[in-house]
Amino acid sequence: VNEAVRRPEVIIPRGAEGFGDFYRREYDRAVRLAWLLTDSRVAAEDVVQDAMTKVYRSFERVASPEPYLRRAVVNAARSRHRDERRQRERLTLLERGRAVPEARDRELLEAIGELPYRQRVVIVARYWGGWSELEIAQALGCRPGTVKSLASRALSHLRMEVDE
Amino acid sequence: MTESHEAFEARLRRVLDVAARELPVRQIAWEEPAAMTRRRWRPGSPLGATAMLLSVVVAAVVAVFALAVLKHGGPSHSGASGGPSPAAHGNLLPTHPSRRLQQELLYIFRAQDAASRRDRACALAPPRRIAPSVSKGSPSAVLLAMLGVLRRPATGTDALPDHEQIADLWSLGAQKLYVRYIRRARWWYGAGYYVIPAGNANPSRSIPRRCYTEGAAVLRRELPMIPKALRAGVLTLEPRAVATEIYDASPHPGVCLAAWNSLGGGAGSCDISPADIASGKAFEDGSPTGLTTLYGLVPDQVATVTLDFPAAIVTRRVTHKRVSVPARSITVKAISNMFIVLQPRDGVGFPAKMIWRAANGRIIKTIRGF
Repeated sequence: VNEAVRRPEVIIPRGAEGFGDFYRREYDRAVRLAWLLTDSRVAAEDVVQDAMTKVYRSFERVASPEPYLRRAVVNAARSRHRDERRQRERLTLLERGRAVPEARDRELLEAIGELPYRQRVVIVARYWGGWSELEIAQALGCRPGTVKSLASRALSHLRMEVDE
Repeated sequence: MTESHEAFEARLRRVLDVAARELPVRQIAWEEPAAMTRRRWRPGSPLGATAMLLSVVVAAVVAVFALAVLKHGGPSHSGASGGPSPAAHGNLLPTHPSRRLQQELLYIFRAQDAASRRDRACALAPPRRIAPSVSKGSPSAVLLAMLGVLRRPATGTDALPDHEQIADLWSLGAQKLYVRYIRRARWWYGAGYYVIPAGNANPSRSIPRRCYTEGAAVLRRELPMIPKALRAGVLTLEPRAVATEIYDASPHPGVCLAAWNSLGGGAGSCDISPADIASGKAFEDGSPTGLTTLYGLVPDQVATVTLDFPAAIVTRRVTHKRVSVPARSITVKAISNMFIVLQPRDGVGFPAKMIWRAANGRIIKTIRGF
């Protein structure tokens, strides 16, 4: 059990919510997170199924399963991210981003997709997920100082890409 | 006209939100995994008796070991995991804190988070938008003594590629680049691997000291909310956590590692301190040539590096079938203080163990826990 993710003030009384309820509540957002991290719908669904299985194993023992799920998704998406990136490089097909109308926004989305994985996690978690630095650090298993550093590098890189 | 930092952040949020909503999520019904069903041994069966016997033996061995550890004074929970040694970095937290340490840190960082929400100056500062400063000076004696590649005279091949100029390196976040000491350590499969020493290799920006004081005040207010068993540990750990945060955000010398291919693609990162190099934590993963590569710096006396990748289950591209990849050990030469190795297969992650050997085969160091 990852006891580091305990949050005493948000303890969900056992019995009030079973795993099925948690799954139904969190599934949609978890898949969208994995989608932003892997660029592949199939991979995103696989990643979330794997992550949910991990959470299921520890569900009764963790006080707050959400951070545990986030960490599991981020970890599981890491390997998929590499697979998908290489596949995408070969096919030169960007599945994601069709709904983003403006060309400069599509550029930004592509630039996010090209970031190293941990930087990408920080950007997605911070600007889409609204996670705090602490939550990102927990998901990545690093110190909050590292999150600051990753965010700084990622933002610099994105600014440079879009300003070119 | 360059858009403001706030406008850029708002655009990031909007773009990611649109992209996330683009996916039509179809919820897959949850099925309880078959593997979750616990297997029970039957007390009357021979297997059951063996299992019982084994469990008694294992429990006895564990108890004897625990007693031996207690007798000889086991390590305290704080800082028991790997990471930079206190001697190298002062009393800082390890890069990958132990579980117990994480549990205690959670309360400290939450208090700092709460303080940063009240005081805007304590939040993440936007990145610097200035070109890196350069210096004609030389890196620290410690760094020069450690890395022979920096001591050798510069050659024509050390020049940065045409598409990368010093002024463009601001994305690395480093300042005071020692331009006379930039070296291309390796040229490998169409990409150059550069070592760039810097007076300040830390891209983070510091926050005012008052933020830590405010965080400490919040922590003390919330102390009754923290489980009793953790309170003492949290309070003891707090100065160490703050020292680490201050160190993480303060300017410090080190090196940047950067890899570029001839088309301009590549990756780089800074904030590699001499202590990181000495402790085997100075390596990166990237794919400057399209293949996932691990590359890192080692001190002078290291002749070969052995990377032990554990067995892993990875997912095949296209078919998404899961395949098991056996454990693999790869030994490569360290040339110009740098080792480069292709990952055995995408998705296997970092090695579980790295062994440094001298030219005569003597093991210099074994590093675990990346």
